[in-house]
Amino acid sequence: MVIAVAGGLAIAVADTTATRTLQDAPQQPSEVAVVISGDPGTPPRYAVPDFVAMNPEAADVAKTISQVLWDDLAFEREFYLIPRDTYSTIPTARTAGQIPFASWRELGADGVIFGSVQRTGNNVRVEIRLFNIRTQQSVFSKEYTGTATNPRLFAHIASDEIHQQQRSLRGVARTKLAFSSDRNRERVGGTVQNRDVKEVYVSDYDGANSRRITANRQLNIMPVWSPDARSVAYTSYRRGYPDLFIAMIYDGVQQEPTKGGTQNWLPMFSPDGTRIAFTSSRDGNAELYIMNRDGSGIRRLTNHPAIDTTPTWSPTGTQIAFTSDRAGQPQIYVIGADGLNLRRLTTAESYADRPTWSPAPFNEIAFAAQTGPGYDVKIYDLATGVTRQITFGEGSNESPAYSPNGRHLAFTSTRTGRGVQVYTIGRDGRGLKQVTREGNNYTPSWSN
Amino acid sequence: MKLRRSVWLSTAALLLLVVIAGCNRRIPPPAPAPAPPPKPLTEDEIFQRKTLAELNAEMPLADVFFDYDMSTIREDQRPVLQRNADYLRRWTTTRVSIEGHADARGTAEYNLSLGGRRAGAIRDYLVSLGIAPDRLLAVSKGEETPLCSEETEACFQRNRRGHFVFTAK
Repeated sequence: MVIAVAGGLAIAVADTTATRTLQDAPQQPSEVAVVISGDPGTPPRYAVPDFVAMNPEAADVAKTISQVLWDDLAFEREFYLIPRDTYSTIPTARTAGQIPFASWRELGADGVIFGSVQRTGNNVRVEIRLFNIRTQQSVFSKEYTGTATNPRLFAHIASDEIHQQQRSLRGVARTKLAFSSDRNRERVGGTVQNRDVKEVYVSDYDGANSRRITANRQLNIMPVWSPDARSVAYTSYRRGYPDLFIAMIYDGVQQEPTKGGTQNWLPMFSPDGTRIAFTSSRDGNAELYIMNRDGSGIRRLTNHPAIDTTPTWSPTGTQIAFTSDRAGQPQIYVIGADGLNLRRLTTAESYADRPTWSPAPFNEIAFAAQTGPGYDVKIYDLATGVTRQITFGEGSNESPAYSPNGRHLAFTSTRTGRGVQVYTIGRDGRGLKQVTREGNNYTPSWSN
Repeated sequence: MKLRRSVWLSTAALLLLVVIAGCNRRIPPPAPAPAPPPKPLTEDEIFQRKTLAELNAEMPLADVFFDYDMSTIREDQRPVLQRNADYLRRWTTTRVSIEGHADARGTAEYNLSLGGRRAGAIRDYLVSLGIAPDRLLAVSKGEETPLCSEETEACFQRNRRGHFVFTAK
């Protein structure tokens, strides 16, 4: 059974940056630079005060959007977001014409967001503008209309658009995470031992709006997104042994590409979504295979009595990195998708697993390496052969997965001492954020 | 002390018998037709009456334990597998799923394969003892269903196990 997830909230966007004449703001010169810069050598400093509720019913939505937009704009670390608790001395602007530019300048802001929300029943109209403090010009102005069901989505869309306009950067505010979790731990009755149940969940990139997409009270583990972000492939024990399932989450449809009595696990979509690499014991021991998404055209990629597992595709789909213990301990290897040109990558690790190839333009492979009693996330740079470390021994840190823009990694950590939780972190090891808090949560995958 | 208690218990039991006997005398039972004592069930009949869940709950097949990151059958585990094979030979209609489990020290991804290798090693050993391969399904559970979660060698050892689940009888 697949639980269908409600489709992406329909939000209409109108770009009012160029067309709208602001009656209450200074006339915009035609050749003003749209990009807001900070002081030399520092990121632009943004402020996101509470949005104006145009009517009382809009108050909750207005507050949520402004808080989430602050978080979204801070996430890429392209802007410095001035903490919201320092805004108390700044007079509240009910209209864009009332924005106290001098006060914001005193607080050190280079840009300020002005937003307003009008709510009629379950429909909301959200206006979001970004002003350059120095020029007092509106450099970004959009009007969004949609339902009040998921106010966070208005902020996510605006954040991605502002990152695109201001930094030519593909933001991740609208992306999602998939992971497995025992948060709704349900015991299977009547068996010898207590069997743990894990179900697959999807959430926004920040952990909000998490929803369960499997409900078979078995082990459902190691989910991965399809490149179109509409399907999640995962390994399920619903037949009593591990096999591959693909949940088309917006359609409530489930596909079983390897159905037929063989044991298969750890699927990974090719970058174009047409093929799946996976591990199978169908020929005796764990080997890598590639098949078309519908299960046709299965061919074996590795052939070794040791374990070969955990495949990940290069961005061009021509190579696959994987884990093998053919040298004794698990290490990372690369092989052509045609089965040729096998080479070993990691040589200085005692134990390395879960390689994850970065998206372009980065050319690196993140993996989990044993660094003591636990693991840390490391990144191998394919151009230089240099490995750098991202986490440093706080708990065990495993199962890294790249964000679609390659700037972040999701991974799991035991660092809080309260179970296994999903975190995100920059590829430079900065900007750690905890994503899950409930139960234990494993093996995140980050959607496009 | 122990002796005195058992003497006391015997006395109490005797008194109880006397009381029961006394009761019976006061209410005379109707003339009993001498019922033949129920024939004790045969071992086979007992086995037939069990449900699959009841059979699994009895755990007649003992777990087999492994060394860290290893899937070879340890010397001290061979008698366990011998006894398990004896049971499977006695009850020829049974089919079992052999679960290979790992402790949490490896990565979850690699452990899915390690568990498979352990389950496969157990299956191969049982086959070498004469059990038909089509009665045995080797399934990796990786580190997904631990019996305990403490970071101690004792707990790690409990989790590095092969476990047997009957799927048919």
